[in-house]
Amino acid sequence: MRNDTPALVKRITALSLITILLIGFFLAFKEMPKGSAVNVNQRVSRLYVMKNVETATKMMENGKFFAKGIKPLRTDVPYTPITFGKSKNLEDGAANVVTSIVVDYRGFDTLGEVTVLFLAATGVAMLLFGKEKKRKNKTEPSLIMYVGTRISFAIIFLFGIYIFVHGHLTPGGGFPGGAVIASGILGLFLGKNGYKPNHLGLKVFESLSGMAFVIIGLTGLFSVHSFLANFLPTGVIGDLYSAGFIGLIYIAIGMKVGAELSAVVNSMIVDVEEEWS
Amino acid sequence: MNIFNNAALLIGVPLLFAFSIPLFGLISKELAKWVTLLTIGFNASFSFYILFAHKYPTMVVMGNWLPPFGENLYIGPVAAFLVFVISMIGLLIAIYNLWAIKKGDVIRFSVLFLMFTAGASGIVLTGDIFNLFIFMEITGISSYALAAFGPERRALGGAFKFLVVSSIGSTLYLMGVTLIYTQLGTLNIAEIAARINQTTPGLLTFAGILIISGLAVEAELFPFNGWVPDTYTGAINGVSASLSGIAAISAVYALFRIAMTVFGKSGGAYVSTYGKIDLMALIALLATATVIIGELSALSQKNVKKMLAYSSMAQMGLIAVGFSIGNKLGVYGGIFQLVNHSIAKSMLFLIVGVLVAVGVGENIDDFKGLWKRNPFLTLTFSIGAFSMLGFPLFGGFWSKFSIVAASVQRGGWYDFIIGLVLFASVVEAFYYLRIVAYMFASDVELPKVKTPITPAIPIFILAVSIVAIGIFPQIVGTFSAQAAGELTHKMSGYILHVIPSIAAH
Repeated sequence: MRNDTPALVKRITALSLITILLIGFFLAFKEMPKGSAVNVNQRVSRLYVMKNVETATKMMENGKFFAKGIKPLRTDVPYTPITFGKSKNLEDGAANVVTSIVVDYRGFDTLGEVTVLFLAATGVAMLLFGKEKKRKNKTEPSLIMYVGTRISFAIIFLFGIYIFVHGHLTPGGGFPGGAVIASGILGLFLGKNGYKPNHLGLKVFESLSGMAFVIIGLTGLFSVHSFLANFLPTGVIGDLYSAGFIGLIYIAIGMKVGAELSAVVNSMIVDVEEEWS
Repeated sequence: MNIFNNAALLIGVPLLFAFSIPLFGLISKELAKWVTLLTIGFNASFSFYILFAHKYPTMVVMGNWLPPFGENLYIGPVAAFLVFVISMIGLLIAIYNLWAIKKGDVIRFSVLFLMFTAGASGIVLTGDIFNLFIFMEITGISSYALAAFGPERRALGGAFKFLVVSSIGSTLYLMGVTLIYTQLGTLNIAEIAARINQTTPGLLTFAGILIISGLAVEAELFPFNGWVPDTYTGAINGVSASLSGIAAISAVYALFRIAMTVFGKSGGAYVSTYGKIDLMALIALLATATVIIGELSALSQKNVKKMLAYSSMAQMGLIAVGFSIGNKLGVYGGIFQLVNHSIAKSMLFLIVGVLVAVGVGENIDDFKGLWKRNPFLTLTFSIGAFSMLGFPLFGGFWSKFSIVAASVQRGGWYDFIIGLVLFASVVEAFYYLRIVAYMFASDVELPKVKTPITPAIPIFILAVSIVAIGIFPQIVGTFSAQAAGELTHKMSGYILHVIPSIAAH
């Protein structure tokens, strides 16, 4: 396909490519394990994913997996078996144990990490403010690059959203999801010289998602009387709508990290004029 | 266990407004500065309420998980008092910034300044050793960016040095935390402090050295303070003031919270630490070296900002000497000196900032005959200098006096240390009095300069508070005595307030 190809042909080609890729993506998506269908026994660390403390305790007693001397730390808590897709109203409810530590037990640290990223992006933008970036005359990217980045952008974007929405079920979460989204935007920069994203939109989005995180924390303070406390029911372990506020927080983090890394890329590439006031 | 969860607003509200400042900035640049000012004002009034009207020691539980399972903030006498000081100084510098920051990216500057102050409060409040690292990063990253702000090229060099040294420092700190975590499996300061003697002594010593070196970068102790002169000189004056007034407090707090509460032995007249070497003695040695090197370097400077930077380094050494004595009187003197230093040094930097802006300049020769040109700034500068020296009737007198008294009380090799520190103070007296003499005694005839009103407000308030502390030392003294009690008694002062059921080991 060349530059003088009629626009209609270009569009039809692009559309069909997108359709094929989307169908492939959704076919792959359909094959992905659903919450209750995961066969935990054949996957990673059974004891962790199943949270089946009863089995673990039996194994300890038999001396099968652990040394015989080791005893459970707490005897005052009754050990009830926790099964994927069945158990309800658990302490935390996230199927991914890393997530439950990062967002729930130590959510305050995560709020701090998001702030660190925000400050780093702010600092970069402040240092590069008003400075002209010297650029050599680059060759225009080829048409394949242009069309390819635009098609893959949609899919990358969707995949990023998938990662952070499922943060409490699968390995992943807000930070990787946001980074995936930002890599899609970086692709757009590579695909066309002089590409400018909607800078104002990025700013507003970044602010609102950061505020959403703090507001979720404050809601915890006013409803459960503790900052960043879970104020939603935890649901059935393994479902999409489970684990209380972890999903909400990961959506906020994902949007914030995505917008922020895109803003960093933007402030490094695009000349920013006096943008406000 | 006394829980006051609403104190989480001390961190939550600044975060909320820091994220929203870009939106306010869309309306107007001035509004961004005012939002910063009002948010720090909220922190100042809320910490005032906690200090005077609320019962402390108290604790904030994060996310409804009681410590040691979740994270917590601990507001003891130390934290309540230091957060109040940090917020007040932050508020005054924010007023100064209304006037000083006109050009450049004002909106992002406001975000960074707000988070710098909130991060310093977070360091002082937190009860979790990893959360401390997060707040160190928040304060650190915002201060690198703030130090690079401004039209001058020298700012970039200073900020880059600071960035490199401070990043290495935080990495060392994190490695130390990791070592402790492998031994004890917890990150809660109270639980680590209670179980610290269950670790392997060699590993504990190594972790202690890593952590102390990491924290000494921010606390400006000797082998780790190469960044100080360039960063302080290069940064605009409001930023230098906040580095010496706000970051210094949180850094010294973190250093001695780790050294005294986490590693310290409970009981005994003087705090010493577990492990193969005594970390308090190590800090005392580093601090003495810092005092001597700082004062001698300050003596030869022609630039007032650079001189203040070296003097700041030396003062941090003196504060660390006070803390490292390890009894109640020494820690009392250390905290008192910390507050005096923050007030006086941030005021001196603000004055230099005004003088540079009105066209006087920042070299020592430019200060000649300043009394005839501008009496207000001359008087306030002299008050700050006298407080630094420890003249009677100024704030610095009482704190230096108690540090010397505590050293003499302890005796032994502290007699030697205090001899060196007093020698260095003579050097300090020489270079501060030289400037005061230049200002009053020179017969240079130059046109008068006017003081702008907005920056004069914080300078006036700071000067009045120095004189007030000098005449009524109990304003600071009562609080720092309580704080010294908390730091020197780790079981009854800290651990049992956070985890009442824990058994001493």
